[in-house]
Amino acid sequence: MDKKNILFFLIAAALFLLFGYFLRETLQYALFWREQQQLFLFDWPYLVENLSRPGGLSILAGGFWVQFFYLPALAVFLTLVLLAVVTLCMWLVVRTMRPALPVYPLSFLPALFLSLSLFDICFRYEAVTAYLFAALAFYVYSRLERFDWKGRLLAGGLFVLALFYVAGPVTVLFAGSVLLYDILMRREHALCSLLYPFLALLAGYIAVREGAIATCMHAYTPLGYYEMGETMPFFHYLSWFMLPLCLLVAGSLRGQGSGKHRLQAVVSLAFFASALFLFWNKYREIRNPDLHDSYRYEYYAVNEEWGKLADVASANLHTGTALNYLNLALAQQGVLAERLFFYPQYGPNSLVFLPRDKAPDVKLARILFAMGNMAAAQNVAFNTCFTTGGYNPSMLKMILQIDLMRGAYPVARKYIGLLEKSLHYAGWATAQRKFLFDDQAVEADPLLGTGRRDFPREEAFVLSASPMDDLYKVLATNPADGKAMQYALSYLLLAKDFNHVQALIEQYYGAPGLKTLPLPAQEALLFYSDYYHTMDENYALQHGITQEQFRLGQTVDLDYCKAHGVSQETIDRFQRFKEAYGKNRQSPQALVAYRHTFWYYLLFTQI
Amino acid sequence: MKNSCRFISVLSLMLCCLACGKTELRISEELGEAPLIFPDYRDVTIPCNIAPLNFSYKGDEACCLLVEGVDGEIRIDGSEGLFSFPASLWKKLMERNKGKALKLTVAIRSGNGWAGYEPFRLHVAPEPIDPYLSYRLIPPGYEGWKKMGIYQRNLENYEQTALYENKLTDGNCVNCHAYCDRDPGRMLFHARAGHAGTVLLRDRTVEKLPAVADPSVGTLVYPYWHPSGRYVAFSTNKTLQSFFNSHPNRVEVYDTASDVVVYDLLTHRTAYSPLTKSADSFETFPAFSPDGKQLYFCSARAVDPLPQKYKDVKYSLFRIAFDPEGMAFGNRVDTLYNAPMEGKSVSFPRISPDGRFLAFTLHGFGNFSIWHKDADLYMADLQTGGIYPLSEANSDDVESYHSWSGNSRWIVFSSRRIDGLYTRPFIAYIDEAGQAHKPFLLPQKNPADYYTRLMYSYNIPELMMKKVNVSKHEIMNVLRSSF
Repeated sequence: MDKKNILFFLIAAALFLLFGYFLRETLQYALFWREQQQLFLFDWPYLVENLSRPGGLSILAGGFWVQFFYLPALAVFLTLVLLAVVTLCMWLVVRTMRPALPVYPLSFLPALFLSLSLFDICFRYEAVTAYLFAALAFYVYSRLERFDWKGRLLAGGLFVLALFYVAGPVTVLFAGSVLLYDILMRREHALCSLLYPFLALLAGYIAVREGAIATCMHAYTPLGYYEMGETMPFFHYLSWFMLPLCLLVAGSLRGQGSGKHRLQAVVSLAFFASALFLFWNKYREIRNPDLHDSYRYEYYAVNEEWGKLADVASANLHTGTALNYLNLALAQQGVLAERLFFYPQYGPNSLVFLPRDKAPDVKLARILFAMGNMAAAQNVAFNTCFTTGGYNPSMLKMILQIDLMRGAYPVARKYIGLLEKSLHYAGWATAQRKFLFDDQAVEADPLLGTGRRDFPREEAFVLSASPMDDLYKVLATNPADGKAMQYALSYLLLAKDFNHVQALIEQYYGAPGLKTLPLPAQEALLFYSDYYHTMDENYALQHGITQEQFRLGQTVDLDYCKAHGVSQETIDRFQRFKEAYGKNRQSPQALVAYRHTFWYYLLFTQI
Repeated sequence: MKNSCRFISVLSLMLCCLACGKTELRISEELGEAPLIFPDYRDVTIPCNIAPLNFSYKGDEACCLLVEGVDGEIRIDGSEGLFSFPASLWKKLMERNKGKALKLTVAIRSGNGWAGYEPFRLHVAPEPIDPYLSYRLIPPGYEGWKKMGIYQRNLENYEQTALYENKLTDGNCVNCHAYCDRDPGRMLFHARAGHAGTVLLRDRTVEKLPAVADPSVGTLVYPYWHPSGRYVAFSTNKTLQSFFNSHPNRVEVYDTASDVVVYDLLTHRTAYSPLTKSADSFETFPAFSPDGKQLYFCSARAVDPLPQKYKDVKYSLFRIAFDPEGMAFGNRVDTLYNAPMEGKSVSFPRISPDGRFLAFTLHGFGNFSIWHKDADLYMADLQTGGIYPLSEANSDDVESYHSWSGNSRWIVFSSRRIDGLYTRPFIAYIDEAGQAHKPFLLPQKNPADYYTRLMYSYNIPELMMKKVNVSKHEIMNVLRSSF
């Protein structure tokens, strides 16, 4: 390698390191999320099925690459590798247009804009591998110097057809670009290269007519790599425009002769800078930090890193998603009810949000699973898993676990077999085999056993009313499920329903799931006691409280509270709170010392 | 001539055996038990034109299969437990043993010799089955999917082709494919969501059914063609589903309203009777008699509120006269199965093409039998009025949708007996007395591998006399067009 090439290499390496840092900060969890949208199978029928359609190899290659994205840092590295190869191919192509130095920056642009498309999760990763195949084909084509024009045309035509089979719509880009290249390079009979676009269009047309591809737009444009049924934003065309644009700029510089290197470099750099500006503006336009955060939460949830999930979600509590994940993390750590009011909460939706539509929802599936509402979790997980088109592996694991809990062993075995065909999940799946047809093993397992005991004995439909209705049924059958108990208590606390908090404590205090009373529940019980003991009976009856309820309320005195887990320290603090509240009735600021209490939430948080 | 044909057949069989490298095998030990095989093809009755019934021995030992028919015995070695019949050999076996039984013995290596399981038989019925089967493949959740499609399978080999796949219309739902008398030239199916409409294939043209003008008629759902090809009876259903918290049925799908109407494909007019469209009842699952003069349907007293009272919804089986000339209904219904009296619920009435039998699904309540573990196939003898279960065809798990072959000797039906969730098509022989023989699972090249791997349910298996020949692109164009 001569000095110039070493310099080019070092610059490129530095730029890619810098770009890698940018991607790590902005895209790593979105890349991880892509891994959760597929399950690459080492299975002949799966490979054959993919290879039998246009662009199938790029789908397989993309899927193969993405299967390693379970580590976000690795996902960034592997994506950088692909982008680097695209850039290298571009460089090797444009440098043939000489002079090399001025056109050097241009070779980065297609990969740069390709990475921009990755910020949109609907843009499938196979578009990158398809682009890579096109770039490789372009490089090889540019090296066909020994061939006469007929040989070149024949080879180019074969490239077009093979590329359409291997990579799909990107063939149109390839065909147009090589035509442009031949013209700019003034290759012999360059206009004969019009054959390439013609062949690409023809191949696409045949694929559409045969029903292999939906429409010509899907056959000829990046829309072919976009989630079906979604409207593709225009910026995904940019990486496609960049390739011929770079060729045009390189070609125009080439036309200016060799004596104007400095001017050429300035023109090239100006073009590069303009493209970079466009990239940055587009990035700012399309970036969605909340969405990226939700992928991050999902990463920690998938890996069961509950402490980290709580940390990152609690740092970003302006979205319901963050709150749901935070509370899930707290529940998984067994401190949900205890630490509930350490964070701002806004009613039961902070725990679980039930959307009206049936959109895929991994978060909801995880929360329902933690609540012990296994049937509902399985339904949501199933829909989520099978709407990805390639199985969501963590949802598939959940479905499998719930089938083991149900004792639906033949179906569980089916899912184990599927996961065993993947690289990353095979070990986990094989470890589940020990539970097949072995009820004792299932019941002895902490997770599966608890889940099995969570299935309510009372037959009902799930999520037909509020999630709390289902929680009551779970607890009725399995009061030892601590997470379900935490969710139930927290749900009622967040609903400010201290009557039902008391009823729940009355029923379950001392049960395995409620050996000790979390502090907010103590606070709620004290408030309940105080509420009914300070209320005039006539007033109560006039305001919709039944006599029975009033009498019941009056039975809850301090002795009752102490017998049900309320500490003297909480009682003392409640006295102090009451005094402070008496003095500063309408001033939350004056009661800020109590902001982490149920009392403060009850009085000052609107839900 | 006949003799020379027979000689050639025998010679071919022998050549096949030689080609497979088979040598004589002597069983030195009898195991005295039935072999564990998948699919369970033991003592099933099969049509003479069916694809080879490859199956797997589920043990780990080296194994081979001895097949004994009228022309003697042949041997097939198991490959990782799988016994694959060469297509030509199978065809000849079927041809030569039509109306007879093949005796199959699975033998496994035992020391230096072979140990034989109890032999079983494949009864080869002389009556063929319609050569094509169509079905929808969909994940068994019914709420979420990415890919789904309607496919057709050549029953004489393993070829499956897509009739239509939803990837062409943005992943929308396609469902309820129906043929007029198993004729693929007259077919329809629905598409929902973004590119909605009812696709009608008729006289080699594809069109979208115009919307129903009558505002009192809801969305057209379950179809059944009139044998004339001019009318299609539809149910109109408002369907919802709820999920059980622990019931093994998992899901209850129910209608909160439904009616039965007849659609005239010529005039695009709909007609109904107060007996098929009433606010007090849920009418659904229409089916015409083969002569087109009777319309069968299921009807339940309307129940409210749902889903709370879902167990109270029980569908009876009714029949009403239909006059194809005037598109008019009779003024009374006959009750073939009285749900309030008998205590169960009927779905999917299907009359055999010879008009003799009516097969239906019977279950505890409701109409969406695929989610009912107790759902079984029943038969009504339309000559005697007798009703009885098709015991040989039924299992402990779900049996549901079914369709008849043209010669009334075969039914194909959905069952979840394999794993309790994923619906698979089974085929059963129905003898002249209307009794089912032991059914067999739709054959595949490697059934154990195929059905384990397949993450889709077979939905609405419909037999067809030949393949549907219409381009997917044409269907897509029709669906994507604004009308």
